[in-house]
Amino acid sequence: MDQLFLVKFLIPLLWAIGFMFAPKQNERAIKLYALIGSLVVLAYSIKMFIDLPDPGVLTELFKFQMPLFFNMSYTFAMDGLSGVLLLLNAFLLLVVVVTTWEIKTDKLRLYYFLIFMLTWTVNGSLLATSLYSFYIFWEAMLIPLFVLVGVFGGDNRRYASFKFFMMTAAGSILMLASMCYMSALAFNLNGSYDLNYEVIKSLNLAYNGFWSPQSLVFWSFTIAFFLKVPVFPFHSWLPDAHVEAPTAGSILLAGILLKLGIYGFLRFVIPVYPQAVDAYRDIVLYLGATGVIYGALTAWVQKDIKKLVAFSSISHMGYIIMGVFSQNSLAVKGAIFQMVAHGISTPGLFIGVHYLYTRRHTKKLDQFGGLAKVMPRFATLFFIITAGSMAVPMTCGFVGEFMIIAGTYEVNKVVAVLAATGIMLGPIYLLKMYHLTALGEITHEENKSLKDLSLLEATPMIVLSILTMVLGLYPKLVTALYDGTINFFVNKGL
Amino acid sequence: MENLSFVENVIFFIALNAAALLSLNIKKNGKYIAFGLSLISSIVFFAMLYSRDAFHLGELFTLDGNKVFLLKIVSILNVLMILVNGYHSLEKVKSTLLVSYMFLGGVFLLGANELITFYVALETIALIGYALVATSDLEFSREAAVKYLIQGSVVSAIFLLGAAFYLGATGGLTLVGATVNNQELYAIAVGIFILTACFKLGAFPFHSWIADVYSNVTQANLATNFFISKIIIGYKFITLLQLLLLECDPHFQNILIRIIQVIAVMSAFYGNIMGIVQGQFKRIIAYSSVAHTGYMLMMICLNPDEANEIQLISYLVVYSLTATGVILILNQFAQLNHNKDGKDILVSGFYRNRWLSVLLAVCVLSLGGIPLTAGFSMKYMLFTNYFKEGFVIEATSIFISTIIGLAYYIRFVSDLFTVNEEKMKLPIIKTRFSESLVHVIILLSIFSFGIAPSLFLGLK
Repeated sequence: MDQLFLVKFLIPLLWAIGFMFAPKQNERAIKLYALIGSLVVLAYSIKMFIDLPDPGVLTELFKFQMPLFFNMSYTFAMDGLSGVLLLLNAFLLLVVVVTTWEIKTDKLRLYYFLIFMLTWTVNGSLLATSLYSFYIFWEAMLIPLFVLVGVFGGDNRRYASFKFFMMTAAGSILMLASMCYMSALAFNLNGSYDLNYEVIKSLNLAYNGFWSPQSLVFWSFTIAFFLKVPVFPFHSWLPDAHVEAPTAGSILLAGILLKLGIYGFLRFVIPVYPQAVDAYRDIVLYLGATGVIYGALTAWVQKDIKKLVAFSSISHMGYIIMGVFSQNSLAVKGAIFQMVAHGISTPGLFIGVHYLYTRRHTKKLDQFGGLAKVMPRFATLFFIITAGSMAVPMTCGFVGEFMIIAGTYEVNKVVAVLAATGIMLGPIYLLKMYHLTALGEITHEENKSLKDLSLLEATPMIVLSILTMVLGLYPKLVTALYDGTINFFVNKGL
Repeated sequence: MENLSFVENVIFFIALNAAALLSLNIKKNGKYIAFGLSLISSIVFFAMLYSRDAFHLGELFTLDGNKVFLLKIVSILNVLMILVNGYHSLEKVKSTLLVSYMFLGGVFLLGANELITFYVALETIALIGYALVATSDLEFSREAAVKYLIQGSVVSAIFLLGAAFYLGATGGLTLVGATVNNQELYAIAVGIFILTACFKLGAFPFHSWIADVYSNVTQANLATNFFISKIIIGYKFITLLQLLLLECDPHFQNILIRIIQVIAVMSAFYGNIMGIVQGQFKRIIAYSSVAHTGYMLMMICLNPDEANEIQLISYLVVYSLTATGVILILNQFAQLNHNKDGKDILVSGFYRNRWLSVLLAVCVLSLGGIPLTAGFSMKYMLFTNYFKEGFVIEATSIFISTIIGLAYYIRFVSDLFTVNEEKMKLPIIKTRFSESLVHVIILLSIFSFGIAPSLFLGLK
């Protein structure tokens, strides 16, 4: 047990509350406060990871029994998987703060409040190992993102935030129904409603066909996580949310929030419902492969850069879901790596779009072209990140996708071949995007006078570009952090 | 001595309120005197309840255990609502006096052990309810009151018919410990009582009065109606029907339970679906109430034990408190819109009235069952219990209906945070001390019961 866990864990929350008392007029002070906060969050996340005795084992950090609520336990634990995502979350918080440093809004305090709240709730979901506390953070994270998109988003923000909230909350309610069911079972079994990790695994729900308890509970959790990832055909909220979200929302959404669905599968589905996972594995694999192709083809025909990147996310998340459900150690390892890779490249693309939008106030592809001539720094960095996203060898994207497809091939050859077409489609739509923005002649007069990135603006893109290449060349930097956990997920918690 | 003190207190309560009613004729300071007397009577009544655990008036009337606990909570709420209504407007003071009599009806309903006292108490509450609607000075108030009165009267007549069947089946009107001599008549009687409960609580398909009544009463009246009628009528009917069902022949019992389950599921779906298509916020709350009645009605099918009873009380109190919070704040927003419950009264609310907007958002999120709020923990407890009793399909169906309900709850929040330059220029809403006090109590209750719902046991 980490004696200081609660203090460390509550830092983003306390920091968020601090924004309420910040002087409204002094924007610089608010931004500095946010920057310091993001550095503190990153520092303690690194420290927590370093202090982890064995990343291969789920180490309990804090446990609190709640006698006043069904004697439920709030258990927080960490292993290599949650540790990697915790680091990614803290890193993306810093990226968001730096990227949107020049943001102009009269609701700055609310803006940072929501971002820090989002970070806190994501941390809570990653560390919670009792189902009850996981659900609380899982559901709570919807609210800051809902308000972030609804207040700071584009013209159609109301519709987008509503759709995002409703679809993901609908999935959550299915999960809640299963939780109530399991709570009732746990009470009949142990005389306690608690749903800590050991209890939910020990319930051993019967599996004998679709209408059996394990199958139904599996599907209620799966649909909730499918909606979050999102997996085709549960994806329709994502393009709208990405297009309308402010840059901070898009970065956090693509960078970490989508991964929580995958994390949910790894933590609460695969080790807990092994027979259902085996029974429905092929369905999920085919859905993943369909998502890869559907996302890529749809991205290809987009005229809005942000929407293109959003659909590319659906394609990339299709790979990850395949990797996780293939139950092959190489594929699972690749899926977790791809979560990190996607958490680097896609936020990088959104940052690029953000800089284009702040200069031209449009996200239409046909409004750009030839930017490499006037914005060489931007064009170079944007290219490296695009290469990472399209899985060019020696970039992080390649490593993850290669491992997933190779691992999946051992399990289901058809799915692997189908998904491999995504590797061909990826360059088509991403190169099209890059070509239409950076290459060729400048066809629009307004683009001739565009300023290149300042050093401050370039910093997050430089860091993400370096990470794209370094992780492409030496993936062990990340895989070593979670290697020990792979067997647990592949052997379904045994 | 103990019984005498209860009777004395009731007489004192009635006398003070009668004096308050008379003092309204005093031209200059009548409303202040009436307000003061009404407030004193309610505080004294609460003080009398505070140190007591049980009151008995022969076999006809018993207040003990959870009933006294519930009455204490309702008494506190009654005092708070009197404070919120305030003494500034004569209309509101009149409403306060009417509600005091409604409260008294509630006390007798809660303790009633036989059908005549039960009927009289129920009718007292209903009559005050008709009056509250009729005296609301809105365009269609009287029309809504007449509709409510006619339907209510028909249900009252049917209830009396049920009482007759009950008398035939048991040979008496006592509700506790009756011996059933004729199961067919008894089942019909219980069926009629279920119908009455569905009407009084506004369950589908007996809900047709609810939307009109809710949208045609002033918000303060609506709020008081919530905590008196929902809490007390809900508690009394559900616990009573649990007991009555136990005496039923298993065959009839099974049929009646099925009927209740169908009504519960239909109410949850109907209320939630209709809530989405409403333009006015008061009508949304009305249909939300139909849906919540559906969630609650399933409790009739549970065993009448101590744990279930406490859970029922917790659910009723939390739901009523939260809904009251929503209504009171909507009232404050509506004041800027000439008391009209328009579609856009909440737009940009957060940028003008942060405190009220955050509180309203918390209340509706609680009604929607978002974690860490009381609404979530109550829903969790309730549905876990339904699963535990084996009502898997019914509980899952109701769960699915709550997804629909979220759509209109989130509309409140969405409106509050929407940026609209014109709306942002509207004046800031002034909140009186008594209103702020109620707001704080509601907020604390939502979070404390959300995080630790068993605090209810501590209160007991």
